[in-house]
Amino acid sequence: MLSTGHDDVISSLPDAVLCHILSFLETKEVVATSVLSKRWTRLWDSVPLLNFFAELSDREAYFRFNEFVYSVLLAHKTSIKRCTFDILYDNYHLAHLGFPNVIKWINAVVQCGVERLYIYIESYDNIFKLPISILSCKTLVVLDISTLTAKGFSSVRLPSLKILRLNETNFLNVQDLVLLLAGCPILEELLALHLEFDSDDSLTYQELESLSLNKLRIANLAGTICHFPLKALHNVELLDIEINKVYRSFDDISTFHNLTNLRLYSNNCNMNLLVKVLKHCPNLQNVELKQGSAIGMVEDVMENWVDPTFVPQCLSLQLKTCIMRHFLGQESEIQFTRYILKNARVLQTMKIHCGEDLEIEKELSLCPRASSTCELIIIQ
Amino acid sequence: MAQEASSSTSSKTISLKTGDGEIFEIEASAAKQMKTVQRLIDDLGDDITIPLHNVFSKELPKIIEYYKKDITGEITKDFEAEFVKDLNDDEVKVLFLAANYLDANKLFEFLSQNIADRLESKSVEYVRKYFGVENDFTPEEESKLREERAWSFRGIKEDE
Repeated sequence: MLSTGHDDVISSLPDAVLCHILSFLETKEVVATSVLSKRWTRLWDSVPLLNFFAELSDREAYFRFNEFVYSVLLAHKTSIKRCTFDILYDNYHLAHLGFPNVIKWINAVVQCGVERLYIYIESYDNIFKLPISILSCKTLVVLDISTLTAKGFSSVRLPSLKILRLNETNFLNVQDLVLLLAGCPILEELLALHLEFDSDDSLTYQELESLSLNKLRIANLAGTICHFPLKALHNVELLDIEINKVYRSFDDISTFHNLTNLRLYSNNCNMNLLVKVLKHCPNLQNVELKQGSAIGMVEDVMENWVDPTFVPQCLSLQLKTCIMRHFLGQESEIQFTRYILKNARVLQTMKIHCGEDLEIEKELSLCPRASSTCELIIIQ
Repeated sequence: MAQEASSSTSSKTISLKTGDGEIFEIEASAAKQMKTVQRLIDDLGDDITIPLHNVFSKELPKIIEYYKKDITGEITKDFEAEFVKDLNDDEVKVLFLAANYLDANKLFEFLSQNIADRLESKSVEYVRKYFGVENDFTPEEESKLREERAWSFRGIKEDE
């Protein structure tokens, strides 16, 4: 009895509620509901969220998918709030056929005032080139792209963009990356993982100084080895970055006043440089140091530790946790660890991840600690 | 006598009466999360037992359980998974309708996602039954649509 009552009620739900349920489905399924009844043929194209997933390995699948995406985009009545293209072209030929269509689709979606755009196009031999129409999309709030090339653009205007996620994206040079970022004045979150550059021209002083991302709170540049303008990141609260040969002196960067959590990937690193970094982060509470870059290379640590003559403010007042990964047990690393333990007054945890055969526990547990509540944890 | 809202809302409980006559108590702060209930409180006062004609004693306790966790900030993915684990598709539907009626946004969103997940690769017939939809296509019209939308029907089970 009760269930029939509910059937009547559920079918009398307004279109908006039914569309809401549909918005959690993949577009493929949403379109399938068009076959439920005549009423439902009118519902599916009002769902403002579109997502297209496909792994295309044969021509039939390729053609059907193409037809499908075109029909959805053409039928779409409302503006598209969110759109995902997650497509794998299993062979060169299909990718070659397919890419021009993807460009048309992206352009169409951009014209519909899309706010959140996710583009993951994979193909074994080809790399998809980002349509530059995206770079002047006034409505875009989130842009998330993976395994693409971003080249051939000269102006970027993304006035609404708050979140930019670039994964394995290929640029001509760092200047282009800076140009892209300069066009995102209200950016709050930046992920720039494993970026690649055709040439490693360094930035001019002018270029280093000019970029400013005042609203940026989160920046993760793991795996991206380049001469990145650190000054632009001066307001961030969370930062993941590769410290490498480029940041040798660290003298001319500004202070990171809001930085509370820092993760550094350092390859062939000068441990004194790490102390200098801490000096620029007066409010740092949590730091993680990973030997070897995020790409996975590990080189030996430089052996030239000199006891610093200063104590960074964060050590005296703020630093609560310090984590060291891929600890090699070399002399300057031990000296660095000793220095931190000796000076970090409010440190609660010092955690060291190292190889099984390393015998540092005894030596380190005997180091004087400035913080009486500091716990030393060694994980092998 | 009308009570001052500010001083006692934190510990105040509201009485709700279901369509089948049972009475349940919830914290006033939980009631706030259900806009329909809050509107009724605003109109009728918080001393009166609020009548909910379209919600029944089977589902209301579950809804109260959800919002009890919500006001203490304890809603996690694990809790939500556990919450729907033993419910069948029809029971979720009933909860969803209740959440819609009560204008309980958080629960509504969560259950929308859950229903979508459950329907994800079900057959067209199943979805029709679930939403109480009457098929007003002729067999020819339906098969034409299916052909046009061939990509959509890859991988979806069909009932016999």
